[in-house]
Amino acid sequence: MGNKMTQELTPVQQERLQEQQTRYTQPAFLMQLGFVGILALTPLVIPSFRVMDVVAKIMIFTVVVASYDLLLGYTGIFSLAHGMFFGIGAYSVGLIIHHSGAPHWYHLILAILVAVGLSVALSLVITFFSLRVKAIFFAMMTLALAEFADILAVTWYDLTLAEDGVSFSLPGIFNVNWSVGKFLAADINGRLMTYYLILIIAVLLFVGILRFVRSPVGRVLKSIRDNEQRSVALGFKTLRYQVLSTVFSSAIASFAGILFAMWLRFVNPTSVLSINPLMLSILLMLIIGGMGTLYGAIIGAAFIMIIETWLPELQKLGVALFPNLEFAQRLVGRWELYFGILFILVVFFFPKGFVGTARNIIAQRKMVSSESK
Amino acid sequence: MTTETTSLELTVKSGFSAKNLAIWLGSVGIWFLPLIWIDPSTYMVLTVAGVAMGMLLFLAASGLTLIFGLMDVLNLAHGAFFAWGAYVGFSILNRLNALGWVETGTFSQCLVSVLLALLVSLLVGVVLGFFMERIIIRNVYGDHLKQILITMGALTVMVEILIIFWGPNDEVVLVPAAFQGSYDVFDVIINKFRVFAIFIGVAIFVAMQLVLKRTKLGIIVRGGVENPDIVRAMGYNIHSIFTGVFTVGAALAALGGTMWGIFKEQIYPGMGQENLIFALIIVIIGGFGSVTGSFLGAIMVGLAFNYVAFLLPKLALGVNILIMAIILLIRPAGLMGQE
Amino acid sequence: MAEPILALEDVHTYIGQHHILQGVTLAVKPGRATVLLGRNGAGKSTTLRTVMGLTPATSGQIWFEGDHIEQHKVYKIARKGVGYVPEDQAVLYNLSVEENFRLAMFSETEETWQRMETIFELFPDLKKFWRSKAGVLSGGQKQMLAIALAFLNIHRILLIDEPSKGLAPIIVDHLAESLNHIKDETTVILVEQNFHLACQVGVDYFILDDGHVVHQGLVENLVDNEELKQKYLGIG
Repeated sequence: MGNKMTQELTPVQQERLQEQQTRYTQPAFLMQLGFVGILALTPLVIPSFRVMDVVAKIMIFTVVVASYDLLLGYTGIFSLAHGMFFGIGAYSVGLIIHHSGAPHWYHLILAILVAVGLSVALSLVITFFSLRVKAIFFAMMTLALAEFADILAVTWYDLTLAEDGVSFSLPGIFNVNWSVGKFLAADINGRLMTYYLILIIAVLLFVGILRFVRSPVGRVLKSIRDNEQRSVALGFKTLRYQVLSTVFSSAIASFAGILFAMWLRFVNPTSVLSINPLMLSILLMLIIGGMGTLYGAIIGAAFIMIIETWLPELQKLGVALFPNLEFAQRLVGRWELYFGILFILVVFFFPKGFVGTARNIIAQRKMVSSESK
Repeated sequence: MTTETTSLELTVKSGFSAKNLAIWLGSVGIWFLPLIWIDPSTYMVLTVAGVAMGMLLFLAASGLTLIFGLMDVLNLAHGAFFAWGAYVGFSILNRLNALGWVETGTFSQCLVSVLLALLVSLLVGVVLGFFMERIIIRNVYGDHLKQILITMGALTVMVEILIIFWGPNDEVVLVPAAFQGSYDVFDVIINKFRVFAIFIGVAIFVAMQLVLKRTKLGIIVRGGVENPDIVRAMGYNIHSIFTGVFTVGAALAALGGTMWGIFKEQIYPGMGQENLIFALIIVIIGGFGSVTGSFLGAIMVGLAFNYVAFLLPKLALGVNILIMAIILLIRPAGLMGQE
Repeated sequence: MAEPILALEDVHTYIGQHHILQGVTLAVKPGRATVLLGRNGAGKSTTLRTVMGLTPATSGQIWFEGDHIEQHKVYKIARKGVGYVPEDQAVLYNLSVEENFRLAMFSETEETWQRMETIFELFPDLKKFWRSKAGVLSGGQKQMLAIALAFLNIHRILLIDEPSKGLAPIIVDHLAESLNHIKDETTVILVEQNFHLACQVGVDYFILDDGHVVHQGLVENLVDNEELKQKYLGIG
């Protein structure tokens, strides 16, 4: 007791102090910096729009999956409404700009406020339920809620233009028509500016989640996930932490939705609100990357985004191979089938995901080497 | 705690306390509320439509509730059985139409057509359910997270296979001539097929209750819903019972799907997923493992949906979610759930 | 020495991460009522559950009448003649008393119904509540029903887990009476915290502590052994 007075630090405090001092020279940090640098250089060096498109989507979904990992992997709350929050963000941007005619700067700000506000409100309601009912009930309720949002978007033509979707343009330097010439292999235009905006915000959000998880709050969350009764007995007001975590992760997912809408300049229910394929994709990305790992989100998002970008090519292949046999065309071309099969196989055989399995192997090696000492 | 019986029995046993009476009046009376905004004959039409819709949803929900109640398995792929039933029924009716039995058939031909369609979809449901239990469900007993994930994947796969066979478009289902049109009862127009749907739903409910309450199999299932370990320790192979219940549940869902197709006269690949939500809501409202609960819950959902759809179309599904939320708050185990 | 009717050798059982049974070795002689004693958490209930197959053994061997049963499924073990009365819920509350019995009957024969007569003599309350749901019975009556269900079929061995838990002393006496009745037909293996009841019923004993057997012998020798009672059972 009275550590602060005696200038003597506890082992935990010493460790943290050391970590803080050497943080920016650790090899891991330099690698992370390098990685971000690569992302920044990609559009300048690789002239393909396809590549930039995939990378932008990967960045966005990394953030979504990381926020979902926070919710499920770290806090242990199984919600199927995460895609809905993503959709709320996307639709906020799309509808505000669409219904006001010409795009302005303040629309983006307004969209952020609306999206985050709505997400916070909804997630507070949802959290209230999650603690009153058992986990499976909660999962099913969130499923029903998400389907409802989807159906609402599909049937409310006047507001959302339903399945046709809402197309819109972005203000200022993000607008497609803005251009100031070339640099290296790329045009300096609205797309590029949007790309860099996404890069910056995605990195900030991801780092934000990392810091959150490593903070004292994050540690409490882990203890709640592992043994809620114990945490309550230790005096933590678990409710507060769960609420904090849920609200934080939903808000981030909405933000990612905003970025996504800005990138596509188009929103429709299937791409931003659906259970199938949106929520399923998020789940698959999380599992493939590894639950409770955060970094797994990067791998999961990359893996699935790449598959989703090139798998629809199968449809063209199907038509090309069997120009007259509709059945055979469908057999080859319905990539969603193979996606579903992949999903099942991953859950059966690879439930820990890449990073999860890697960490397991490392942990086992450590155990073996420490036991043999 | 575990001696708590249903509120119905409580009311009977403990006598009519004021609180119980109030709850009962409230839950029955609330269904007359829409009369404030809807005229009586429209109200009757909606009521019949609601009950009919409820009966068909009951077919899907009853399987789901037994499966969860007995096996503690959350099967989100249940919707796929529903969709398959609908498409199989659709194809059978098309084939029979070529023989002139459907759109231009006599009463007996129409009846046989429908029964044949139901029978075939029942069989398809049995086959699909059996293989799904053996191959997929077997491996995820006890792990709810995995169950949800795997059955979501299975739903996708099964619906995709359906699309591969039938194509991704909406299809129009032919209604047999004898079931087209309506009866005119005191100025209330009652659709003929809706009556048939109610009849089938009630018949199945009665049949299920008879099996559950009067046969040894029923005792085993009810016992297993409450405590599988006791039943196993009494020497019953609860695993084959599980497979049987799963298969029956799938068959019922397929049946419901076929009926739904004729009811709505239209089918589409996503119908399984959308109706799954209704089934889930019904199961939650009624309580896991209770067939009576899903029967009542289904009627509630059907009525609520139809009344609200008439008044505020977009909120119809939302109202049901609201009901589910309210029930979860005041009675987390559902109307007739155990524990 | 008679061949044991049930034998465990170096049985380990894990429940999740917890190593509950850490090498249990014991043998039960046919016709000799055996009691498993020990403190809370010693592994007594788990031993019964492992024999029954409800919590399968992770390693070790279990013989029942000469057969290896450690890998068998629960229902197969039950059909071989192993009866089980669990610790907490032993009857089905949502089923009527009648339905509980119908479920417990392997086959409804003339003999079975004659046994029902004996059961009604031993437990008259059950006749009174025949059509009521088992859930409305009192705690003591539920236990009687549980014992009666076990008594209905003639098992080769009967595993009973803490039947006296939460019961009033007068009911425990009635319980002891019925258990003594059963002893004649079946080899009873009883887990009990109630030392007095255990001594009334048991002939041989095994004391478990920390997941393995620490002491065994004849009950008549244990009754007055204050040292053992204090050390392993915390009584005396």
